[in-house]
Amino acid sequence: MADIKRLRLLRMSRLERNENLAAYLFLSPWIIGLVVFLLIPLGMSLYAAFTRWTIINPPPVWTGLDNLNYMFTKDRYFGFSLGITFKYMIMSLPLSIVLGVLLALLLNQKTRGMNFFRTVFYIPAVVTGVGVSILWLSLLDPQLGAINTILRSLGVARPPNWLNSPTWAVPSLVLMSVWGVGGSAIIYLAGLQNIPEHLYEAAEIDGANSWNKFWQITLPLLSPTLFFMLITGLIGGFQVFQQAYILGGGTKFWAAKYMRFYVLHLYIMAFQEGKMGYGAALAWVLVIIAAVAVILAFTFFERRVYYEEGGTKEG
Amino acid sequence: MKRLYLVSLLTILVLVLTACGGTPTPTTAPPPTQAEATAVPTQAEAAPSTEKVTIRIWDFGGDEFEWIDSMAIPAFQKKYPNIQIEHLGIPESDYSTKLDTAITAKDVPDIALQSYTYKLWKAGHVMPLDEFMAKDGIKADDFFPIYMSWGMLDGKAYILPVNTYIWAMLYNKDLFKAAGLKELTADSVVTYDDWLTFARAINKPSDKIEDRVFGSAIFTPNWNAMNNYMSDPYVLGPDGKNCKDNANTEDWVRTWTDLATAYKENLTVDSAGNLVGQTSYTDLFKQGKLGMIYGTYGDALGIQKAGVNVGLTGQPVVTPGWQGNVGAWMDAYGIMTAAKHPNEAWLFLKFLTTDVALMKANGDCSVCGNAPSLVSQAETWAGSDPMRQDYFKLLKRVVPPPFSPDVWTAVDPFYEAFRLMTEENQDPATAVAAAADECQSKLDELWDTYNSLGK
Repeated sequence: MADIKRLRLLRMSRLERNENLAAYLFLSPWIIGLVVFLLIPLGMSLYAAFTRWTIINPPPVWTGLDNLNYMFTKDRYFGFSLGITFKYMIMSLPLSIVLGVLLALLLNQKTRGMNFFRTVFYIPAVVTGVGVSILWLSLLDPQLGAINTILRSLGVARPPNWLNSPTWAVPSLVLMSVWGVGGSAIIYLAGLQNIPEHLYEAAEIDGANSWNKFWQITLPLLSPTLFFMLITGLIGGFQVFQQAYILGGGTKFWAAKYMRFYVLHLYIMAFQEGKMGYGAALAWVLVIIAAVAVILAFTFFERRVYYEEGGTKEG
Repeated sequence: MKRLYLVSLLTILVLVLTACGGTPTPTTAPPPTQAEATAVPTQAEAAPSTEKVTIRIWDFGGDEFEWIDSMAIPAFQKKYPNIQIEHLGIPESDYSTKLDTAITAKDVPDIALQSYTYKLWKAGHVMPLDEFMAKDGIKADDFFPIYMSWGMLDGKAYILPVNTYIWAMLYNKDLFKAAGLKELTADSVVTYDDWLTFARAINKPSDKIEDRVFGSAIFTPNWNAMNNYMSDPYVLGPDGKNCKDNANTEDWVRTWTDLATAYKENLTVDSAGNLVGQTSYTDLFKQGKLGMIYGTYGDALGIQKAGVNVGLTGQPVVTPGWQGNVGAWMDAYGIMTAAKHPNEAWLFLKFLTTDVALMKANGDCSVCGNAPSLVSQAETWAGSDPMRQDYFKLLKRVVPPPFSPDVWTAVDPFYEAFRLMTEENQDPATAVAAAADECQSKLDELWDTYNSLGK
């Protein structure tokens, strides 16, 4: 095989070689950008993860595994922030998938005004994250926020303290994420609209009811979309920062403790405490954790995804 | 084909050069390296130039520092027309990060607000001012005692303060009298046990805000008594390194117990829930609905103008008999080591301390009315005004705490301890012990990071 390739190269005409060279020349700005703005910083970050590097006191000093040792033995917030992050993902991911699919099913009905509803439900997805966070900060105010005002009017004497409560801080963010479920519903809607109608017609002829149609046709054919959303949701869940930063005040102090997601903890260590080396170590550990989670998701769920061409991997 | 290559190469070259090109090189000299700039200009070099220069000053901005633009800069530029000042306000939550980034980028302002920026002093990014001060006859002793901890490190001075503020206890004299309590003075020293007694006597429970009177605002020690050295020993120990043994004493546990008791007995505004809505402590105090709050002299003036018979005294102390019962801080600026114009920066800094401080003390702005930091100026300013005299007495009383890299971060766990005591009914001794452990752990890390700086 290698001989054939070598022979092919030798026989490559001058024109072919020139064309290859032209292609590489045109690609070179992108390649330079990739190397300069991605690969080199990645390499530097990996190096920094094994150094003690305070932002105001360069240069970095090689310390080997000290950062990892500190992370697993002394950093009280490492495990805590990972716990907060996982808690958020366990609560928000299934909820957003289920509610997204339900909403998509509703938006897939052929009734008048459906375009209007599709637009309305999609609007939260296009509002900027900072604006949404500030809006929810106001809604979740324990004294004067709309949510607690409504709860009090319904007879709840001591409504939750929301963002300052160890019990309710993460559910507050889950509530916020569910408010934006319209964005994922549109993606499910696209998946639903790709399901051939004749399958439903055939099922009806065979006496299938709505539940049968959903379970036997809709869900399997929507499974690639569901799997995609699961993976992107997993990755997104590990990266929660903006809402936690704004709703928690972005500080390292007590008030933000129950909003201390992993990436926020990383930000605080790197930029507020100035420990860039440790921040880099946290970042790389996050990459590994996220990669493991995605691999596990592929292992357990991909076999159940139905691909029209070849069926599921199970058979 | 050759033409194609030439065009391709030229296009790529243009794109790469455009992408990599930086901002135009300034025509002024580049900032000195840290090694060069650590050497403070000698007296011979210290004469300011007469050429037009622009110096940059950074602080938290907003209402708290609008006096820089409205008072300080116009007055200074009248005196020194060749020196332009550019003022940049950065929100407090982002200030430290922005300053750190500026240092890394070697693009620092000439003057920066100094507030718990000890790590920058240690790392050599802020210029010691001793030579400048010696040349102009300014000594550390000329300022209030808080200067020793607020402005000095390892025997060197790094700041010049503008005004000095106190966190005192403001109390409603009429509510005290109605409750049969003795009037307090600037010389009084009360403990948290006393504070609890006062709060109970003043408090009038009611479900209606019109009839409600609160004993006190909560005086959580991690906000005042801890960092302001209101206990003996100091909460972080005499060397600022031991929280575990010093934040967990009998006196401290009793203090936290008193606070939790006041909260649970609904003597404080903080446990009022939605009865007070967004009304501030100060507004409640002005309405005669609050017996005691902590506040500055400026707050006391505002309350007095609202017609409330307000008194100024020290805050409750943790250790019976401990005289350091006032918290204090300074708005203070320092010159960055890599400043482009240190001599001109010194002129402005000195002007702030000697001239603007007095303008602010007598002025009318949101943070005006507080004492100048120079003791001689403050004494003259206090004159025969009784409240100013009390303020002056309280300022002289402040005991500068031993140095620690970041007392706020170290004592932060006590917030959680208080929540556990009040919301989950945890035993105060247990909550305080756990918080003291965590405090020690944070303190060790802070010292570790601090000691690695400047190497």
